[in-house]
Amino acid sequence: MILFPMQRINRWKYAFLFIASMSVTSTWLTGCAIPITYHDAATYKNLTDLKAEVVMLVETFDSKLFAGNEAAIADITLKFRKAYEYEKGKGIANNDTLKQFDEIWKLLKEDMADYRENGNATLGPKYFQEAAVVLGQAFDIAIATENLKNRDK
Amino acid sequence: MSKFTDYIDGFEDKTSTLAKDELKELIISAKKDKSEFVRLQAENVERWTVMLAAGELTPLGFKKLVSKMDVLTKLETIKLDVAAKASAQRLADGIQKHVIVGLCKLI
Repeated sequence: MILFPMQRINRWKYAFLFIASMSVTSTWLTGCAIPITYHDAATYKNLTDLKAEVVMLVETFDSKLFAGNEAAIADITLKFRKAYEYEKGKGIANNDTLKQFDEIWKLLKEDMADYRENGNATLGPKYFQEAAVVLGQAFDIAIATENLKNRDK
Repeated sequence: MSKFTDYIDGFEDKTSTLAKDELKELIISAKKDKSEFVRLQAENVERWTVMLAAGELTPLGFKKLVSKMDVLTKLETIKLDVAAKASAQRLADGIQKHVIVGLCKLI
């Protein structure tokens, strides 16, 4: 095909514009509009480890006195805090996961406070068994959330 | 479901505060919902109601557990949000890989 000088210029101009617009779109999509981190194996492991330990601990609250669990509560609090700080360190793109950690921590903190104050005396003999179920479900949602994230290239 | 419906039907509710049929219908339909999350929450409410009837939970314990469902809903909402973002991220990465790097080299 024979192109006149003006047509040749237009062709390059359109090609340039196309590439530029794709670059802008891609940068906009990845950089601004989608604040999301990639799947992180360490986050997955932290969540699954914490789930097992938290659920097993809270299940004991119905039958064991607070004094007998004080060390275990301090231990799980530290582990949770470490995992939280790890998530926080990933920055704003990780806000969704950080919010989930916040919500799970609120559940656990409330359970530990109820346990310390009255045990299950005012809540029922099987209250903490069910509180542990809720915590397990909360962790399951957070674990599923992490699994929805894309694997980094 | 029978222990649950028996307990709900057994309430003497002279002021009609409790819409018994609506509550039973809500739980029955939620248990058949296509969303696993909705089914799980319906099962939670049903189980806790039966435990309340059996004295395994006090009214305060029951209320506290029901209020925790709010937190589970917040977590599920974040999960759905992340699913949408991950999908958009796949599109953006695909444009970068196949259009910017691949196609644009050929044109």
